[in-house]
Amino acid sequence: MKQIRQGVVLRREDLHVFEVDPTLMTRVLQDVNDVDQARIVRNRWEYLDWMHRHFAHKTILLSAVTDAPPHGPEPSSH
Amino acid sequence: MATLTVPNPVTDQVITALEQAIGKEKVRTDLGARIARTRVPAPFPVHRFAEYMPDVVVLPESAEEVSAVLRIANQFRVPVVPRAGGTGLADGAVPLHKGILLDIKKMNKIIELDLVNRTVTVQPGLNMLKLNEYLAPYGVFYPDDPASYPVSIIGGRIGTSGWSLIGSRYGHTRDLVISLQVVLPTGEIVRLSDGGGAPKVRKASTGYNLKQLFIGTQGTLGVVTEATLELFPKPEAELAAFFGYESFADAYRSTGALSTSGLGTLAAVILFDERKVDYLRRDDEAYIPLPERIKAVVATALYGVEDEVRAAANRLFRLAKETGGEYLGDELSAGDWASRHDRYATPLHGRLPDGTVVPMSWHCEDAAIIYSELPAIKQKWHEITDRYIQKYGIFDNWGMFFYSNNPYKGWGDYLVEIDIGIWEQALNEETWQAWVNLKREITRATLEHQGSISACHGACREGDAEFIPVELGEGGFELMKKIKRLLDPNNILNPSKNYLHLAYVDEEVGA
Ligand SMILES: Cc1cc2nc3c(=O)[nH]c(=O)nc-3n(C[C@H](O)[C@H](O)[C@H](O)COP(=O)(O)OP(=O)(O)OC[C@H]3O[C@@H](n4cnc5c(N)ncnc54)[C@H](O)[C@@H]3O)c2cc1C
Repeated sequence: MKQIRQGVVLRREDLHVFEVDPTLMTRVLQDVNDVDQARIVRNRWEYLDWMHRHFAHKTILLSAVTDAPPHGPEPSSH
Repeated sequence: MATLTVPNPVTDQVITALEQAIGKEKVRTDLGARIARTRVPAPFPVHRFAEYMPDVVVLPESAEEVSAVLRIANQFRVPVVPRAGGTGLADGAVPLHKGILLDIKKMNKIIELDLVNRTVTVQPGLNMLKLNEYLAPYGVFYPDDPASYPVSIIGGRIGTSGWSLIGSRYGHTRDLVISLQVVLPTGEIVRLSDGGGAPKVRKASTGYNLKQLFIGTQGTLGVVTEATLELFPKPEAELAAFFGYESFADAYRSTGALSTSGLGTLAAVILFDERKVDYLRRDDEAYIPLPERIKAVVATALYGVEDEVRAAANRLFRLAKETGGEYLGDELSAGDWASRHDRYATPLHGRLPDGTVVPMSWHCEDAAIIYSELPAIKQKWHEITDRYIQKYGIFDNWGMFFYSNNPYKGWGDYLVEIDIGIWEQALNEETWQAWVNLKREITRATLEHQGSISACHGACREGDAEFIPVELGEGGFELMKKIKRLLDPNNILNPSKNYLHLAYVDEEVGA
């Protein structure tokens, strides 16, 4: 677990899973195991892909048709 | 003193009449059926839940059955509230006086697909997602696309005159409905179009344009039982591009430049303010890694044939760069855009002032505001919201969006939305009244800046409804009252919505 900024931690680097700092979660407890977490993330991406197809035959990325960089700006360092 | 026409309660006699008219299996009095249709997802006075629970739920399947229900309601003077998906955030489907809840979800048939004239005729209980699944093999689609796309329903879209995410390219609900079949409060079944009676003609000028009168009326003038809708070719390509800016002022200027670019494929321009970016950087995986220097964001989306989308992308990128925008990358742009069709994924938690997480429901307070007034309204709405957060501690400011709001063009007025978290479990009468007062202050600020209140979902709730006479002005609201009285002499259809209980005040009626 890595502190990203005040109030946010990175729980799983491989899946880009961020979470609210557990010290702020004393009233609401979140208990999701690793398998479920991976399933939720995968399903979310599948769902978003399906949404793209639902609205258009093809999704074009800006970096594929212009000289825009495919990746966003680097995160600030902490 | 003036008195209101108060509707009668539902008696056993009413239930028997309903069962005889449409069949026992379509009339439900069990608690489960009634509880499930009491509220909508907008913040609700949960401590007074029972006051709004309908007495009986009916599930008709045809215009004739709807007509029979309305005739019974007139005979016994009991209220009827139409309900579609129950996602309308202005409480249109909440039964203010209990009564009969008319759920239209069983009226979900596709009546006719006319590919030659590009129309589809449906019953109102169908949702857009299901309709588009049906249409996909034919290469056409119905582009009404709210952020509640998978769950809102055509009847409710017409009832609220909904706003669509891609409306700046394809139009909004009111632009996509060609004609309607409506059951009037007194039970007559009528067909209405753009003037004239031709069900598939888009532009006419014979007689009055009665169709529009029945769009956005929150079920106060009639129940829509059939709609003929516009079809578009399903887009070959979509492209979403999100840009970051170092100040709100830069992003605001860039929004103006992008939305007046004249690009025909431009379907949406959305400006996120600093507070929205802060909120997302706190609670949304896609935005958490964004560097601190990014203070505001502009999201854009193009739809159309592939050649046009590719060409427009170049112009879009150049314009965004020239106005200070930094591309936020393919993953964030494509992923966030796809998730916008389904904002049910919004994390339903918020923070108390000390940072502690608690479950919160989402409230979106919105208005249509012209471009020149956006910075001023932003400042005022935040100032109001922060003051209430400080005083009551059960609200959370989730920032503001400014969406292009006009059909077929990006410029002009914007749908402005401030998202506020509200800790419902902590509500009592005092904090509920505080909430309503917060809404009132936001509404007043909207009117001071020449805006239109609650432009996305309609103004049916306490906090907006009482401002309808102010926004419409004396003459306009008088006319609304006259129309309501004329069509619904017994005040049975969605009574008291749109502040229309005033239409039945004795002294005003002249009784
Ligand atoms: C997560 C989320 C995102 C949202 N995003 C958007 C958005 O982007 N754009 C937008 O416009 N809205 C949005 N909304 C609000 C809501 O989805 C819309 O207002 C939608 O149009 C309501 O549809 P519904 O089927 O849920 O209608 P309901 O809430 O059931 O009904 C809405 C109104 O229509 C009336 N009505 C229902 N059926 C009929 C009928 N057959 N005849 C006459 N009147 C009828 C009802 O009485 C009520 O007054 C959002 C809501 C949520 C929860």
